[in-house]
Amino acid sequence: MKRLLTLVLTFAICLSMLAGCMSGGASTPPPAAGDEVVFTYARAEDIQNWDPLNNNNIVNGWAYNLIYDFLVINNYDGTYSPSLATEWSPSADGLTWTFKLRDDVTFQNGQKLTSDDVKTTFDRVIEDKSLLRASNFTSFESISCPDDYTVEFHLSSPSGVMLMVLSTFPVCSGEQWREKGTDMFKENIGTGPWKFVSWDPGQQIVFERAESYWGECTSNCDRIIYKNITEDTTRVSGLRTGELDFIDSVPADQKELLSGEGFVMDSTLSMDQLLVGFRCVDSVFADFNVRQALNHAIDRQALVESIMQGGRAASWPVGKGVNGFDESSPVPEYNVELAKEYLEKSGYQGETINLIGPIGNYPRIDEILQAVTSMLMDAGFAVKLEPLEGAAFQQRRQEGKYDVYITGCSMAGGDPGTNITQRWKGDSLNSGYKNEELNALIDRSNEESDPAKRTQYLREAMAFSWENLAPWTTILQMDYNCAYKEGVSGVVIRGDKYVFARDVVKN
Amino acid sequence: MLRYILRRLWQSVFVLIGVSIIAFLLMRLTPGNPAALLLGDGATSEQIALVEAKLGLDKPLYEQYFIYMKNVCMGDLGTSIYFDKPNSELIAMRLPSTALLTSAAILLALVVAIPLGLIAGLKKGSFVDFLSMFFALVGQAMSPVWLGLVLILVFAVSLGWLPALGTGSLKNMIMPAITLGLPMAALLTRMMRSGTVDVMQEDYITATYAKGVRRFDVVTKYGLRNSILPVITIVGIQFSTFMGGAVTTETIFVWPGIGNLSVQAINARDFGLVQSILLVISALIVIVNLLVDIIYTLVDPRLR
Repeated sequence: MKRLLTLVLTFAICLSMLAGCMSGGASTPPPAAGDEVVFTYARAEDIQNWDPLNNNNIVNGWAYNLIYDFLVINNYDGTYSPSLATEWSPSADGLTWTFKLRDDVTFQNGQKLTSDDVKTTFDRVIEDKSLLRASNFTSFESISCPDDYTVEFHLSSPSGVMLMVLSTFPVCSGEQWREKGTDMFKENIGTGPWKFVSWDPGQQIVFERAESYWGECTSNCDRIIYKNITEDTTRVSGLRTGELDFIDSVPADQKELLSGEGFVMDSTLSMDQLLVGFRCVDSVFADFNVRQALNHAIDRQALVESIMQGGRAASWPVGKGVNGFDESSPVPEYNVELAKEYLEKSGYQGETINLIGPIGNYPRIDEILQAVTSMLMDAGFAVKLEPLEGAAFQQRRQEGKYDVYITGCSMAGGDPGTNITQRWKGDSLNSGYKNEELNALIDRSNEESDPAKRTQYLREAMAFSWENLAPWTTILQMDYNCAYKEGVSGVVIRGDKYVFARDVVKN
Repeated sequence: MLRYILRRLWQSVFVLIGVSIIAFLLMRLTPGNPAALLLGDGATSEQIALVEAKLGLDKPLYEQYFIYMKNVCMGDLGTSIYFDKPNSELIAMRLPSTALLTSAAILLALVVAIPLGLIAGLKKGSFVDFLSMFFALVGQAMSPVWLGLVLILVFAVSLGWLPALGTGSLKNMIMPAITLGLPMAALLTRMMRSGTVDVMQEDYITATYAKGVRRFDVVTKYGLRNSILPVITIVGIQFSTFMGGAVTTETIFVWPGIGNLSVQAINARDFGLVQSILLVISALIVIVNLLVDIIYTLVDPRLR
C-alpha cells in the first residue's frame, strides 16, 4: 500500500513538474505587462510554412501582410496602389515590366531594400519549378536590375495578371537568402510594420511592433497573436469570454446572437462559390442536356436561405466582386419539369451518378450535398452520394473517378485569371473538358494588361463557360462572417477571406 | 526482475519495427497524395510529379521505408512536408502538453474513482452505491464534445471563472482534465466497485476478520490491494490511449497536444510526421505497459 501511495505521489510530483515546464513553453501566451495592448485573432486555418513561394495557404497571406511589403497593393477593384514600387509600366509589347522602387525602405534588421532583393526573391521561382507557387509565374523569364531602385521583369508572353501576382508575393531580403537559404524563413525578417516573434504550429503565432518601420502604421497595439482554432464553437466562446478580439468563419446561426451581445458582426459576400463540377467525358454529363437538367434541378435560392442562411444564389461562374462578374446574368431557373424535359431529350437511361464532395472543407457542405442529392433525385436522376474526406476527395477527382462533384472555389485577390487558366484551360480538376474556343478566350484575357479590356475578355470567357455549363456550374456564393469586439477598428476584411490587420486599433 | 525488464525491452524492438511497417503502409494505402494537397487544386500532373520527386515520394515504397528507418536509427525523424519543421521538434513541442493533460485526467479519475468505487463496493445496495452507479452510467454515456462545450458555456462564458481555451496556467487545465477524466472516472468507479464486491466475499477476507483484524486494515491491506488490480490495468490502457491524443478534448479547448498534430498531419497526408508520431507514441505505450507490469508485480507479490 505504501508503494502505491508512493507511486501516486510521484505521479503528482511529475504532474506539477510538467505544469511548470508547460508554463514556460512555446505555446504560452506572452504575459501582458502593464498597459501592453494585445490584439488576438483566431481562425480555423493554420500557417503551412513561412516560405512565400512554397505554400498555398490563405493565413500565410495574412501574416505576410504584417511582416512584409509588396511591390504593389491590390485595391480589389482591378486597380493597384504603390507600395514598395512607386511607379510601374509595361513595355509596348507587354513583355517587359519596369518597376521603380522607393529608396527609403529598410528591412527590420536595418538592411536597405534595393532592386537586388526583388530580383533574388523572384529569381527563385524562375529557377526552381518545384516550388508550390511556381505555376503563378509561368510567363516569367528573367529579372534585371538597371540600377539599385529599378527592376525589370522580362516575360515570355504578355501578362494580364502581372500586378495581381506581384501584389500577392512579398519581397524578401536577398542578403538573407544568400546567407541562410530557406532557413531565413525561421526568422522572417521583412520590411513590414510587424516583426515575427514565434510560431507554434497548429497553435499560435506572435508578432510585435517593428519600431524601425519605414512607413506609417496607425495601430496602437504592441502585439498581435494569431490563434489557430478549428472548432467553431470554441472560437465563438473565446470571443465571448474576452480571450479573443476578432474571429472569422462565424457559424450563420451565431450571427444574430453575437450581434445581440454587443459584438460587431461583419458579413461580407465572399469570393468563394460552391460549384458543381462535371466529368465531361466517360460520364452521362458529357451530354449537354444532362448538364442542363442538373442546372435546372437545383433550387439555389432555397440552399442559400435554408441551409447557408446568407450569401447569394450563383448567377455566373465567378462570384460578385470578382473580376469578370456579369451583374446582368440571372440565377438559373429552378424548374423540375424543365429538368425532366432535358433528361428526356438526353441519352440518360437512369444510370446511377456518383456525386462526390469533400466533407468538412466548407461550411455546411454536408447539408448542401444531401440537399442537392435530394433535388437531383426529384428531377429523375439516380444518385449515389459519396461524401469524402478532403484528401480522398481530391484524389478521386484527380483520377477522374466521378460523374459530378460539389466543392468550393476561391478567387484570391478578386481575379480569376490564374484560377481559370489552371482549372479550365489546364483541366487540373480532370473534367475532361477541352475547348479551343474557351482556351483562346482565356489566353486573350491573360495577355491583356489594360484593365477594362481584360475585364471584358474575362467576361466573354465566363459567358462561354456559363452557356456550355462546362467544366462547372455554380450554386451559391458564400458569406464570410467575422465578429469582433466593439473598440476594434482598422481591420480590412476582403471577400477572398484576407483579413488585413497591420493597422489594427484596439480601444 | 532485471532480466524480465531486459527481455521485455528486447521484445519491444520488434513491436516497434512492426508498428513502423504498419504505420508506413497504412498511410500509403490511404487515398490522398501529399504533393497534390500541397499544390492545391490548380496543379498540373507535371507539377505534382516535380514535387513528388522533391519529397522523395517517387521512389519505390520499400526504398522510402528503408530511408526513413535508416534516418530513425540515426535519431532523425525527418522533416514535416507541411510545416517544414523537424518532426522531432514538432512532437517534442506537443508531447509535454499531452502528457500533462493525460496525467491530470488520470489523477482526477483515480481521486474520484478509488474512494467512490471502494465505498460503493463495501456498501453494496446502499444509497452511496446507487449514486456511484448512477455517476458511472452518466459519466460513461456523456460525450466529451457535449461535456466540453457545456463546461465552457457554464464556467467560461457564463460565470467567467475559467479560461475557455489555451494553456499556461492550472486554471486552463481544469476543464480539459474534467472532460477527459470524467468518463474514465466513471469506468474506474465501476471496476473498483465490482472488484471490491468480489474481493470482500473471498474466504481469506472472512479469515482475516476471524483473526480479529480491524475492518479498516482488512479493507486497506487486503481488500483494496486486490480490488485495485483491474483498475491499474485500465489506467495503463487508458494512459496509452490518451497519449495517442485526446483529439476531441484537445480540439475543443485548443490544447496543443499530439492528437491535434496527428489530425493535421493525417489531413495533409504528411506521411513522415504521422509515422513519427505513431512511432513515438508506440514507444511510449510499450514503456507504459512495461511500467504497468512492473507495478503489477509490486502490488501483487504472487506475480513476481
